[in-house]
Amino acid sequence: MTPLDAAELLNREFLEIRARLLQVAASLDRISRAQGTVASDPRLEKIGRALAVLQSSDPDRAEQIQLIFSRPYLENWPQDFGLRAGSIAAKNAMANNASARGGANGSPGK
Amino acid sequence: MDYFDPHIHMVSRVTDDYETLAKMGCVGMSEPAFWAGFDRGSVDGFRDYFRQLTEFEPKRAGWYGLKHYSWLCINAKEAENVRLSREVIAMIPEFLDRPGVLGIGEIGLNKNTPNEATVFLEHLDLAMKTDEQILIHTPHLEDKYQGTRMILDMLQSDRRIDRSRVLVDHVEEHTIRAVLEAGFWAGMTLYPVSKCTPERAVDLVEIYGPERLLVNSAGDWGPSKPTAVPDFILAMRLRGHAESLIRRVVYENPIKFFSQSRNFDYTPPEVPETAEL
Repeated sequence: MTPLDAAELLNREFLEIRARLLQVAASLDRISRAQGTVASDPRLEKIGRALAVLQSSDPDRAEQIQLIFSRPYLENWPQDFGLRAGSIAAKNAMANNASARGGANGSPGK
Repeated sequence: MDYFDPHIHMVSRVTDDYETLAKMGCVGMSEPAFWAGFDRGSVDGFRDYFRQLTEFEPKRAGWYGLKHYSWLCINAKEAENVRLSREVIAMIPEFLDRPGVLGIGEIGLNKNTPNEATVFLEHLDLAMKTDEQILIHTPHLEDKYQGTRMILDMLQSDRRIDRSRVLVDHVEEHTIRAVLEAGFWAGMTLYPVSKCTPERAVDLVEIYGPERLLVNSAGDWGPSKPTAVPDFILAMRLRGHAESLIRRVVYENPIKFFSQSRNFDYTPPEVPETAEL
């Protein structure tokens, strides 16, 4: 928890927030004025979603925006990499067993 | 205020930066091995780099009364060359008993590829066989969330790993919770554009508390600021936080984490209550 209250924080940060909003608005205006179109560029869609997050009162807006600009995590990534099913677990199980026997040995495996 | 920078690439900085850091309260730093801006061509190139990290940089830091520590590895950006990576991993033990070598790092992922994952796992195996601490790089920007989750998967599937001896670095709002809840240390890197700003790092201290949390500049050859930790200290003060809380994050926490390495030798300077004339 911050030692400053909400009013103190708003007083401190209002001008900076205003300046950053203007910077975003001017950047979008600049893109609109330029020749060509980026209407179908997926980055623009992400920017729009991020701006929508700002309209909410959720307490985790920064985290939500981070996730908008992130590639998704897929739990089955080892299989997607063409590794054997459960290869990480299998490899580490071998290492764990070796440790239990009194020390891992052998060359680093893939 | 005395502080440590737990992640800074001093090989990329000029000697004047050491002097500036000393003037701003820095008492020591740890320097992970990283990408030089180009892919190195041979294991001997890395051997020379590790000599620079373990011989010359501690000497340069010492000119200004600073302690310099290091971490060794082949960076994820060069892991696509698996053959060279294995040669480097096999060579690293030559340096692990040198003074100031804290462990294996900064290993991790960059673009989250199969070869990067393979080399990461083989670094983990080396660290476990040699009983070393681990410092982990998490990817940049859009790759960070996915890569951090993959790294946590690999760490958590290895029961040999003592999580209190692992630092997962470059956390941000969307990755810090998973790292801390899993029992690892988390590092916040202060960069001008990417990663964290000092103000957002203060937010994360307020949300998650100071336990197992570090802050660093990761100053290197790119746009970065080696004095970013003092920026964080100032941001904490302006937000009204106690000196004791700031000191815990920037001084006591690094010492607590580093002290788990057998090559960490640090004696805090004695401060007499009154000056003797």
